[in-house]
Amino acid sequence: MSYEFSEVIETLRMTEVEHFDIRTVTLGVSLRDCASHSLEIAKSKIRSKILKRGEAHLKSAQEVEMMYGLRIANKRISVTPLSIVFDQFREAEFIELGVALDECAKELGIDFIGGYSALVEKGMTDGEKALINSVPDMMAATKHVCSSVNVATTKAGVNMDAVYLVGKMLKRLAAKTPRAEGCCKFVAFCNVPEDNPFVAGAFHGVGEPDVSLNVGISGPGVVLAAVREAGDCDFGTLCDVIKRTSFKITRAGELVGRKVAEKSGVPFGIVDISLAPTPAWGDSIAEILEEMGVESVGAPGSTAALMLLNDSVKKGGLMASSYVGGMSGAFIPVSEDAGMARGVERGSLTIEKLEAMTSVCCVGLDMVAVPGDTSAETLAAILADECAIGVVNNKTTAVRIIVPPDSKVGDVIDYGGLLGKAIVMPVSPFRSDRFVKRGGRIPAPTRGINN
Amino acid sequence: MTETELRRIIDLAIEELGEKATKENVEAVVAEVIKEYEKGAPSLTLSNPKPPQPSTQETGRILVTAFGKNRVGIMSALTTVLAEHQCDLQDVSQKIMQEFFTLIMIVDISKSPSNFMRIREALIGAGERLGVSVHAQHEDIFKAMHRV
Repeated sequence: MSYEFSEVIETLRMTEVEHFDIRTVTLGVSLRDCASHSLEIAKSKIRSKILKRGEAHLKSAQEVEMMYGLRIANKRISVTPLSIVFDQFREAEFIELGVALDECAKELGIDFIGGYSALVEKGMTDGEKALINSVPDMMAATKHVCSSVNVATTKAGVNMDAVYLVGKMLKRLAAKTPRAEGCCKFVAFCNVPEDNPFVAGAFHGVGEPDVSLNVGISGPGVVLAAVREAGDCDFGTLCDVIKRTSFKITRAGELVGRKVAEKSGVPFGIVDISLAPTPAWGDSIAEILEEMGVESVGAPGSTAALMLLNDSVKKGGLMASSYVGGMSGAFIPVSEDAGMARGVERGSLTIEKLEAMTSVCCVGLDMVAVPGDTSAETLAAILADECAIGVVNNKTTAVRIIVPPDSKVGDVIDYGGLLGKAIVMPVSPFRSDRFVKRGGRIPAPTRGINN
Repeated sequence: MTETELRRIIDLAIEELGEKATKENVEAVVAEVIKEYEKGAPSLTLSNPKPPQPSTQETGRILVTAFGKNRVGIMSALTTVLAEHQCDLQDVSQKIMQEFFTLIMIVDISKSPSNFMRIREALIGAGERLGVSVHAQHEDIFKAMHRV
């Protein structure tokens, strides 16, 4: 037989038992040809472009799913950051555009559409300020729209004015949406990738073609099973096991992506090889670290364990696909990962340890709930710290933080579905208001001057 | 001799023998070729293997896998479905562990008048009637994951 019995069974075991799926195929759609001074014309252009492209995308994705017996958990759409195309608009108009995107998502039956975004690492235009300020009302009026703001890069430094603005906006966002749900759909970035297929940070970058298709694979469950099977081996062997697994799932991801792209006549962009957990047990990054020998996630050794996981995933994935992009690493969201949430419950995982771990994971403080009395200034300071890690290490970092009003440490907010269960974590009571309020921009580090 | 060369010889032998290929005669042919190869026979055209196909190239073959409690007639029911859809069964491997039955079939559907989706549904339906779970997947996914 041209395939070994064990090979066929391995693939089936991955898809049927170990939760291996393609987390998302995200169609990036440029809205740059939808610009107009008239809001009505802009909305109708956006609508017709997204619906036309989206329908073909969904149909192709479903066919490919059946062909390979590999679930594609989400089919999503990302668009050009609205602030770039519609810089002349202000709050009210941006909210209407958000509603138009939401209607497209509803009609297509997709869960999220990303691109209510602004790139303000060096400074903000009036349009960009308006977009950021409009996020709370837009989120209150929509269900499926995700928003992101890039506030820092290694080349530009950290735009502290934008960081503070985001801090203040987050408080309003939490108050405007039930159970602060809007916070789950907003992320602030440093060094944002422009081809990321994962929400909430997905948008279609300005250097991208008219349309492109990016794939996000999943697979913590597959890696967990492989690490478990490897037992108490040495680090070289452990890394090798992860690399092999990552190679296989990336190959499957690229195949699916290319096929969907081919069927819908769209150029294939990248594979994001990130391990993306879900709240299901057995599909958790924390469990992998614990399987490696860390008693409970957050315990000493967690950062090293995460570093080797992240690095091995990349090494395996890079051999499997020539077009690796997006975030590509290991996500460590708290509420979306049952093991991470358990770490918070047990007290082994604190926000400070999590911050250390974000210096070696692929994103940052993700789906972290903090008490309702956390001030806008403290939120901005947390974001500034994440940006500092990203800027100096030349990596993507991000903050997706939930501030449920009136919540106290230990409260549990169950969002259900992929968002999972958020447990409110304690934040340092010491304040950094004076630091945050200085205003201006933290200059780019020497690392950024590399020509 | 490398593993790729060996695989290539086996593939060529199967291709040459066509429908007459059985485990025994493929083995015999391969053994003979290896003997010639070791002597340094010039007739061997291993230096010119077919270029590898891009990973999205469809081969027209699917893998059908069935799992379940063993019982009479599983193989027969599934092959009947394949015959009804004029699919060419190219290889079968079956294992029974304790009372559990596992079957893997490689099937060429390129000459079938039905499309993949219809064949897949028919196979899954036949499996359901027998209480076995049947998966039908395009060969490409296995090729992508297990062949470099």
